[in-house]
Amino acid sequence: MKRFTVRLCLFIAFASVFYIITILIFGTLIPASLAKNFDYFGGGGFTRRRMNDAAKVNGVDVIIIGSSHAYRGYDPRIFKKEGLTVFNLGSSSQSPLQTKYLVEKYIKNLKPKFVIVDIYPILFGVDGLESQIDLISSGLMDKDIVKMSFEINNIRLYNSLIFCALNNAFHLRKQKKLDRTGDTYIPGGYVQSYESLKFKKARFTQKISVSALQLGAFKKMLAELRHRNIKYIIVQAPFSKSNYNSYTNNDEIDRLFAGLGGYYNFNKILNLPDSMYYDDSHLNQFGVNAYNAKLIDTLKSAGILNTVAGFKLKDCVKNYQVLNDK
Amino acid sequence: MLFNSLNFAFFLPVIFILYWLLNKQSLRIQNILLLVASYYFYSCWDYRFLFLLIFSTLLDYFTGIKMAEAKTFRSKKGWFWLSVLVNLGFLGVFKYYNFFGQSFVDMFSHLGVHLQLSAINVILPVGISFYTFHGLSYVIDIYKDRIKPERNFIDYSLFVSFFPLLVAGPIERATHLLPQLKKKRYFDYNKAIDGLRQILWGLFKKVVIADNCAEYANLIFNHSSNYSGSSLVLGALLFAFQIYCDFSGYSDIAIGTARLLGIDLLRNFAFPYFSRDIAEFWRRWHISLSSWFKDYLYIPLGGSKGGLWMRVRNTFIIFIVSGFWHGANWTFVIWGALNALFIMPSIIFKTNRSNLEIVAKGKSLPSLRELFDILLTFSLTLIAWIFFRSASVGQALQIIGGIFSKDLFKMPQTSPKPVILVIIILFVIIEWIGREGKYAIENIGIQWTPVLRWSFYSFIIVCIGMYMQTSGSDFIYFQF
Repeated sequence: MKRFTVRLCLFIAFASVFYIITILIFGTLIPASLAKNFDYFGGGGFTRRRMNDAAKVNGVDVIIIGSSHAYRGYDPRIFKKEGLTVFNLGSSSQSPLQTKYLVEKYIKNLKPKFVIVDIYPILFGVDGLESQIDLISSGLMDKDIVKMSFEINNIRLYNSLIFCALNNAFHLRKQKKLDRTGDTYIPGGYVQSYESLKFKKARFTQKISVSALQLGAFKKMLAELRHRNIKYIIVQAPFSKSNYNSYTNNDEIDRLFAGLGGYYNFNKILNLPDSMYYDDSHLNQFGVNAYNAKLIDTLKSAGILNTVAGFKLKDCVKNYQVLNDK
Repeated sequence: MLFNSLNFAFFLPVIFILYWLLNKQSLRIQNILLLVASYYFYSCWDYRFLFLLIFSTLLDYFTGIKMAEAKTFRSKKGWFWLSVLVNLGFLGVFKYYNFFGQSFVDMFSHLGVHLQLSAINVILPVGISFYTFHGLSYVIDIYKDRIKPERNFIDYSLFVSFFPLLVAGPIERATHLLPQLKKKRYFDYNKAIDGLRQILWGLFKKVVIADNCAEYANLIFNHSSNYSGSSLVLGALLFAFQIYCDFSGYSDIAIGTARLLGIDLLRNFAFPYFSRDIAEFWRRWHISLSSWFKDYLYIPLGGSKGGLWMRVRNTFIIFIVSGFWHGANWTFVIWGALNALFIMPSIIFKTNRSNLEIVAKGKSLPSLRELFDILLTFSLTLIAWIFFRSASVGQALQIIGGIFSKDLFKMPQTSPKPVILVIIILFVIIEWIGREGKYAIENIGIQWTPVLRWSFYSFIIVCIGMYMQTSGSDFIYFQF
């Protein structure tokens, strides 16, 4: 038995070293297409740059959080015209688990007075794997990331975690640029694109499922904002009609989020042509111009933003409170 | 609790350590630990069905004793039939109620009589087909005076519920397993190492080969009408690999786990896809079930003693019953009947025992004749698997019709990643190299230096980590 235990321990140590060396080889020498459960590059979308910027910014009026709908849907330059400084904390496929993490991580230095929480409801039914890999491959590595990774519990994530930890420590490989052509990073976390790709006009219909884990993380994140006395609204940025209409329970989703705070579904407010979309899920710059203008108008007419020039957050918050009380 | 889950990765070491720590105590305590662990393992699926398992155990335990104590043959027979009928009754209710009910309604509707079936949403208790057959073999053996009843309830319960084999076999015999449970076990280094090696290979087969094949096999079978002939062939091929690696992978993990605990289970697979005829295939596929049907159905029916007609009839009976054992669907019945049909030439010409040894024993490559026979046998099993996997007989016929269409020679519309196809080819090569062992990697690397051997095992671990299907599925045979 003693011999067995000793040999087994030795083998585990040997296999662990072998595994780590293989991961290093996969990360540095082997083309990504040959690896199935290994992703060093994440989802693109300038997440690394955005997170680096977020760490440097000290205080903004508004932050925007959510998936790629967030970083492709809210242009800080448009908000700046309204007198608002904005930082966009969106990341690819960001699920509420990661939203909560990012809010907790950056809220101290971003010190927002107001938060626009962009939701893409389908991401309330995912495990958060893609977004987690996106964050890890963007260089984020701390005990909360590791803890969250164990909660998601996926070998692909562990492999990526091992490589990224080693990469952060030893700078083994520069990140390959995976961001789509035509994309431009705008300071403040926004990704601008004027392109309009062809996309399918019909999708399989599906029902949006909401996992208790993701909804729980979302509610905790909102509670954290309330605890810090930061006002927020929940928004669905518009996406193509073919995409939106493929979900069979949009009304049910609207009712769910309307119960969690001020909520606007711009798929029902705004009717944009397909030429204003980058793909069937994201706006291009033309769409963003139209959407952001409508968003600001809507918030103003709802009393949330009561002045256009020389916007005062105090007024905003006061009016928002009145609106909520009503 | 699945063998390929993190829960099991914690469960097994804990049980292993406790089990061998208790080795210095009494055998009884060691068996109690295994029994408690087995019940815990089972209750992780649905604790309510634990009562069914315990009831079935109690029934067979007491009827076994009553049969042995019966003063008249009539009384013995009564206890025997009580056990058989109750066991099969449970199986019937949980597994076949809706099937028989619906078939009954369908039959009458053809006659113009429309009946209403009050279908009940029965959840199939996991492993019921396996532990029922455990119990049945035990009572049949007592009835036939082949064995004495087991008086120790703990030992008997452990025989029925031993966690490595509880949910999907191998289907054990009292004559093989019970004596091992009653004997003091000693830790055997080589046996434990061999067990770990077999677990590793089983895990690789399940999570890398079976689950990756399943992704595309499911896609093609679930939307079969949208796919070309070549895609349907690919779907059938992938399913053939899926089911083999899924079930034999499970069996490897089960056998390896038992070996870690010093217990040998019956072999369940012996490289069936290298068979040269269907008879050989069935001596190598799900061996514990095939031998169960042979011993408890085929031979009692007269076996092959009564001439050609008797052999043909009995062969059809066991294959159709075997198909029906797999599930309450006509697809399984036809799968069984097809296998009976494929085996008929060797039954009629009495060539069914002409390929007893593994193909090309002691050689590196098969002869052209052997290769042709292997490919022909594999093609026949492929046709049968289409029925096994299809949701209905209609779908199976549609797939077979689709295969023999003009787009058979076009590129398939979907396919696993090239790297996965390479791993599947590598897997077939390793299985071929290791076909003379009990499992493929049993003897591979034995003569190598430790570093090289450990590198080989580590390479398998890397393949698991890098290529396992992360959205893994249950083992296919859990549904039976």
